[in-house]
Amino acid sequence: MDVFFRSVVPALPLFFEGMLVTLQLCAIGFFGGVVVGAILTFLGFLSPPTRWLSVAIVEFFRATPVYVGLVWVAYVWPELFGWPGTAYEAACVALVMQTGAYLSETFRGGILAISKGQREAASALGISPTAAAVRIVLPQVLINSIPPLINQLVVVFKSSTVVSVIGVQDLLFQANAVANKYYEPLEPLTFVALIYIAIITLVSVSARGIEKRLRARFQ
Amino acid sequence: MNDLASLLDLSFAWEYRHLLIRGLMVNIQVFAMSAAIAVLLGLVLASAMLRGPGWSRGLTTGFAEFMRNIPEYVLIIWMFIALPFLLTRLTGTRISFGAMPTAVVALGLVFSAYFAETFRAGFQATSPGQTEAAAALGMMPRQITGRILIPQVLLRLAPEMLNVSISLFKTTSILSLIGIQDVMYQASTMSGQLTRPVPIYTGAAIMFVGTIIIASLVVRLITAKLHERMN
Repeated sequence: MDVFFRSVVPALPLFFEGMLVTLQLCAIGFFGGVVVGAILTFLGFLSPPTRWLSVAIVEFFRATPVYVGLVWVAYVWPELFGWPGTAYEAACVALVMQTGAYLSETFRGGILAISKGQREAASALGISPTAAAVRIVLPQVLINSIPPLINQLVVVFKSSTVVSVIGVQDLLFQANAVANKYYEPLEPLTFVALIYIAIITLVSVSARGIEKRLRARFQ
Repeated sequence: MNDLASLLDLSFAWEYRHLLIRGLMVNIQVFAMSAAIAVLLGLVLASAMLRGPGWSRGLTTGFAEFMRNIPEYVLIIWMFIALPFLLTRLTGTRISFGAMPTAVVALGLVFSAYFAETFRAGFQATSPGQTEAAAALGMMPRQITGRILIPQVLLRLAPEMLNVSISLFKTTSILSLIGIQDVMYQASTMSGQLTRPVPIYTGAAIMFVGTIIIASLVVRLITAKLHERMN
C-alpha cells in the first residue's frame, strides 16, 4: 500500500494522459475501421476487379497478427509510400486497417443474410433497387451489425495495447515508464491491468445487453 | 518502379530465410504447448460450466469472462514482470520466471476461455434425440459417446476451433516483446543490423499469413473428408 502511494498516486496525471491517448486511438481505429469496412464491402459488391482487390486487402489484414501489421505499417509503409510519418499515425492506420478488414466481413455477411425474397418483394411493389438497398436492406444490416460492432470495439481495445512497442505513449506505455522509474513494477502494472479489464468488461457486458434487447425487439 | 522493386526485393528475405524459419519454429512450439493447455483446460471449464455444482459454474464463468477481457499483452507483461515481484515480496526469496514458460501459461489461460465457450456451445447443441435413437438401436452408452456424439461435436466444432487456434497462433507474434526469439524478434534484429526493414518485415508478415492460410486449408480439407465419410 505504501508503494502504491509512492509510485501510482504521483503518476496519476501520467496515467490519465496515457488513458486519453488510448481512448483517442481506439476511437479513431474503430470509427475509421467502420468507414474502411463499409468501403471494402462496397468494393466487394461493385465489380469483379474491385472484388478481388477488396478480398486481397481483407484477407491480408485478417490473417496478419495486429502486432505484425503495426510494425509493418510503421516501418515498411514510410519507405514504400513515404507515409505515415509518426508512430501515432502508424498506430492509427494499423488499427483502422485491421478493424476495417474484420468489419467488412461482418457487413458482407449481414448483407448476404437478408433474403433475396425481400428485394424481390420490394421490386414487385415498384420500389427501385437503390431505394430497396437504402430503405430495406441497409437498416436491417445496421441493426444486425450492432452486436458484432461492439465486439469489434473490444478487439480494438485489446489490440491497442501493443502500440507502446513502436513508442506511442498510451496507457500501457505510461505504466511501463512508471514501473521503470521507481523500480516497482507490481503496483503500476496491476493498476493499469485493472483499468483495461474494467473498460473491456464494461464494453463486452453492454454488448451482450444490447444484443439481448435487440433480439427481444426484432423477433 | 525500379526503386520500389529494389526496396521490396524479397530475395533479401529469402537469403535470410533460415533465421526467419528458426523464429517461426519458436512460434509454432509456443503455439503447440499453449494450445494443449488451452484445449485441456477448456474441456475442464466447459464441463464445469455445464455439469458442475452451482459454485463451480459461477467460478468458471467468471474466470472465462476475466480471461477473455484481459488484453493478452497486458497479461503476459504482468505475469512476466509484476507476478515474480509479488511472489518475491510475499515469500521473501527471489523468484523469476523464464520467458517461454510464462508465455505458454499466459496464452494457455487466455485461450482456454475461448475453447471453453466453443466446447460448451458444441455440447449443448447435441440433441438428446440422437442419444435416445442410438439407445433404441441397442448401442451401448460408450458406443453412443464414441461413435455418435463425439464425432458430431468435433465436426461441428472444427470451424470454430480452427478460428480460436488461428487467433492463438496470431497472438504468438507478441512473444518477442518479452525477449523470446520468435519471427518478429529475428526480423527486428535483422532489420536493425541490415537496415533493410521493407523486405524483412514483409517477409515476416508473409510467414504468418502463409502459415495461417496453409493450416486453415489443411483443416478444411480434413473436415470436408470427414463430412463426406459421415454422410
